[in-house]
Amino acid sequence: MLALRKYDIYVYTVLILLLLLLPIVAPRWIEFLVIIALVYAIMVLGLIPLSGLGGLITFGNGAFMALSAYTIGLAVRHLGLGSLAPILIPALVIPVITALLISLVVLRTRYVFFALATLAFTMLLYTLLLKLYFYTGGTDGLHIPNLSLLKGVLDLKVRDRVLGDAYTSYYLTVIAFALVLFATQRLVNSPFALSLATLRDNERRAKMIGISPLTTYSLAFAYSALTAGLAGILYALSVGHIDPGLAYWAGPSAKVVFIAVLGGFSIPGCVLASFLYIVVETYALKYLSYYWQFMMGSILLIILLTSPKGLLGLPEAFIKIRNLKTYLSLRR
Amino acid sequence: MDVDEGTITCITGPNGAGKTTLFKTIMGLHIPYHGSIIFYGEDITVKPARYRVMKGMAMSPDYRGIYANLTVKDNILLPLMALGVPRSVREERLAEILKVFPELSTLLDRSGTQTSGGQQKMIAIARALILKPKLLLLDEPFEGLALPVQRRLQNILMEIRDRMRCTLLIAEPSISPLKGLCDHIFKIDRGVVYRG
Amino acid sequence: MVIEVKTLTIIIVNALVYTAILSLIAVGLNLILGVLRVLNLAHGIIMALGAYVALSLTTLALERVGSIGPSLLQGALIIIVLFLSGLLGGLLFAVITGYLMVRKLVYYEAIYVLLVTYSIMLIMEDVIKFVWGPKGYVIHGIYPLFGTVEIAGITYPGYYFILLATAFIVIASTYIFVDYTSIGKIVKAVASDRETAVMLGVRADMAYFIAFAIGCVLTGIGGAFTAPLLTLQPGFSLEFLLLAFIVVVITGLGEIRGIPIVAFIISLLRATTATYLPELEMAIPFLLMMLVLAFRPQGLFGGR
Repeated sequence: MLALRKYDIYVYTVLILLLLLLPIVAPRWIEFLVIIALVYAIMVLGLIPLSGLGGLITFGNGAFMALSAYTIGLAVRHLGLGSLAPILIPALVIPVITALLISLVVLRTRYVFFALATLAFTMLLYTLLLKLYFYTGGTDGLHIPNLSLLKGVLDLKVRDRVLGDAYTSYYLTVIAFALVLFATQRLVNSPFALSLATLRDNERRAKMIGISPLTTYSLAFAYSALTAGLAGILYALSVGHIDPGLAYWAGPSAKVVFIAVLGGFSIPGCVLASFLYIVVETYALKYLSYYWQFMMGSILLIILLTSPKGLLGLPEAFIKIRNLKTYLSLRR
Repeated sequence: MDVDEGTITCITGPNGAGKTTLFKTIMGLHIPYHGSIIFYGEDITVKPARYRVMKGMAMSPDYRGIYANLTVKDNILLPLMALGVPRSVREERLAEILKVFPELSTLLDRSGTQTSGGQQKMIAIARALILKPKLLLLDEPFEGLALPVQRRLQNILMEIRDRMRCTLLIAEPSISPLKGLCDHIFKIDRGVVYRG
Repeated sequence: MVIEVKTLTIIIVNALVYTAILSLIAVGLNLILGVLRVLNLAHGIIMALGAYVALSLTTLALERVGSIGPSLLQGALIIIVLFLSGLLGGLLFAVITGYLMVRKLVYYEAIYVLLVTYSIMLIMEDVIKFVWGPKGYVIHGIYPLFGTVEIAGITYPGYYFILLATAFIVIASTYIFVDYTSIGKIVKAVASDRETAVMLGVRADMAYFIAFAIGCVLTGIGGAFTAPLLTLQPGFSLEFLLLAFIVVVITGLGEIRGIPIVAFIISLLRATTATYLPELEMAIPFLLMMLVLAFRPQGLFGGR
């Protein structure tokens, strides 16, 4: 399902180039759409090791996204932060460390319970963000100003318009997406991926051959936190406003899971699904703004009901196209 | 493989040879890729387990499968409850079964798992038997039983064949508990069955 | 910090009322989660349905009933209406979605069903918004029918105690059903070991559907009886839903017995923190849940 084929790299490189060149031809609203789609794609890719290979569905993404976003936001509000560079590392490290810490608790469970535990965690964060409003701004959220990349050294600001009239953060997002794309591709073809798949198949046997469930799963969990943290940073920079809703279970957390399943947990599937989802959601919000949930839910339900045996027609089609070549060559 | 009515037929073979899979297929828990199963002239290959139970099949699995959250009595009566048999008939059948397995009558109100392994085996067999099946599948019924209990079980099984006109199909990895018991023997190895 | 008897009784009475609602919802959730092993993300909607249907039906009933006679009789009728609303709301949901979900569940992966419940949640939230509108509703006219009760100098609506009694009766009936009827025993068996049950001729999908239907009805009733207590607006059921999940996890999947006790502890904790430490109100139950999941995943009352 996820084997590396030589031409994958070429496809991805072409994709990245297209994205980089996009702003030259596309109007501003497309740019924004693409940023959000890429932000989600980054998170969804981060889910592939843990949920796709390892089989553990997590609702924690929103929490990690919120953690990094609020790191920036709080630094701005309480520490007078003016540029991105100093906060970049902390904003990435905090979600990862948190993930590793709570793995000790949460990874004592599996499957439904694991999903519930991560859901509990994200809701815990949500209620804290909501109630501690004198620190976090509560439901009003926090404003993320137009930060410069590094004050005094690189006075380029994230929401300045640069090449092709796109935000700096657009290019940052594309770069981040490229990095995550390649990183995930490598992860998925590494021994680590095999360990995860073995754990999913039969945990007892995996332990017997020396795979440590805690280590393996927590690393995968940390990876999902890393990507979610990255997504959180990019989101904060591009959108300029964050609120506790990021950590709400039915927000990014659930959407990302949904997209991942729609994408069949395959890399191309997930990227495509992210774009499709964001497009559909944006249009639903635009045309049915009051009842957009109804439209989203109906579309999702229809897709689910018409899909074969749990996977989605989408990745099936991908796999079929791939297999067609193999099949045709084997035919002889 | 043909099984004659009213006999005790045994299938023996090493572990992993496919005895349990065979039984599961006969019972309807598993649908085979090839081949068919004919029961009293009817092709039941793809029929669900419930259908087969209603037609007169019953099985006692190789693991014990006794419910901890039900009493011993309820464990035994479960299949009758599943088929919607009225309470009075259930009580009657229970009394009949207890004549065959008198040692269970003192255990009725205990929780299903507050019993010894051997007793649980008995419960599993009693549970299958209470359906008055035409075909009784027993997967490793002698496993883990002490020698005197094994002998007791042998006698019970012969009684079942004679008095209840039931066909018994027994799977066991070793031949020793089956000595003197079987009318016919089949051997199974790596999924292939042949006459022994 | 001096804890007065008055504050204590207020806390306890409020906790008890909360416990009643929470128990109803948690038992319903436990049946669904424990038997079908499905995380039903739309569970809050069932409660909301029960409440909104109750809203409409009681408003209708209150108009007609005013002329019937003694307030006690009126009160009794209202109770029946509430009960039926919950039943109706629950069954409505169960029938619409149950067939969709439960059949599929037997053959498809759990994650798939999870997502189906997610999309149903999205759809139903807006359906409710569409039918009843986004504004908040308060039902007047129910409290006066039941008089008041005074404890330690504080006056409480008589309705509180009706609620407690009803919850008690409903939950006790559920216990009896599960433990003493044939169908209940079959459901227990299917929940515990499905394959063996199928081998014995049990119809697993029927068992699933019954568990699901009862679970929905209980939740619907819980929702209906909540209606007179607070302002109904979109999203009000969220808090109960989350706490119900927590209660179910802490008690243990499939263990109905311990639920009222755990619900009471949680309600008490919540009522206490609401008085003294409002910021942490929701945080503590979640923390508890994570701890239980980590150190005793089968729940406090679970045995396996």
